[in-house]
Amino acid sequence: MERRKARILIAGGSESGRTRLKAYLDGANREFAVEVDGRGALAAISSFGPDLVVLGAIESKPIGLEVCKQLKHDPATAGVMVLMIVPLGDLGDIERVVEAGADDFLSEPPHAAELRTRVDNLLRLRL
Amino acid sequence: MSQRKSRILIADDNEPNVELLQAYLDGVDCDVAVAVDGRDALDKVASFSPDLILLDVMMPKLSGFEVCTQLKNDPATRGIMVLMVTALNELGDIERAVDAGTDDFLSKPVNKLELLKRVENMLRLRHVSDEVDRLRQYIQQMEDESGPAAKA
Repeated sequence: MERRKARILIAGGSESGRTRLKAYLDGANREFAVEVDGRGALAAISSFGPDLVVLGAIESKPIGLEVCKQLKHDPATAGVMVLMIVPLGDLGDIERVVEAGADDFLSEPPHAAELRTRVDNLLRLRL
Repeated sequence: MSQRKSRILIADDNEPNVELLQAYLDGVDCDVAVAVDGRDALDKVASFSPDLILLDVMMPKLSGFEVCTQLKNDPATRGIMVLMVTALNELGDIERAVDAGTDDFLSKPVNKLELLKRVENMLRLRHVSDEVDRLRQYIQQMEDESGPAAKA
């Protein structure tokens, strides 16, 4: 039986950041959706059904942390893995990301090998 | 059936680092052992059977990279999760750690929340992998047992 493709939603961050993330993560047996803001991300979570959301910083409402919280508080989507990629300048940043329910996090800008490793691990936990 | 406590091995020759990691892991329901160099880490893997190793890169006798490579090349130990502790700005360390087969990284200085999140994920992965192995063995056993009857 053929295993279905892993679905990854990339949302938030800068346009160049999203392009870079997709290039880092692109590979066989994966399909992607890309969204610019929180509203688009929440819509894509319903329509695209991602296994993993790679969530960058979003400043307009709903911000990235709110997207993560909504996703994790809804029983229908709580199992979707969330990797947040945001500036992690101080302890407060990490606390906020953990409180929002993120499954893991990376400091912006991510290192390619570290990003791939973390995404592989989160997909293994999901699939 | 109760699941046994998770076992975490801290491999680091720097005593203050070990004490800090032990303090951070205090609230985690696990047994902890300490190895003081790379050779000791391999010995403790044999005697303590950890689920996860927090493996410092720079250690006497054998480096963290060498320890990780040996563990991942041995079918008996490759399932042990390795979280390699690297210096924040040593980007070459990340590539070397990936080449050695590490399962994830932790940057120095170690942040408590980051450590706890990564340990949680590593232990979940370890238990998921164990479960998959058990299922594979069960399916294989069923196939072996039903094979002759099915062919008849």
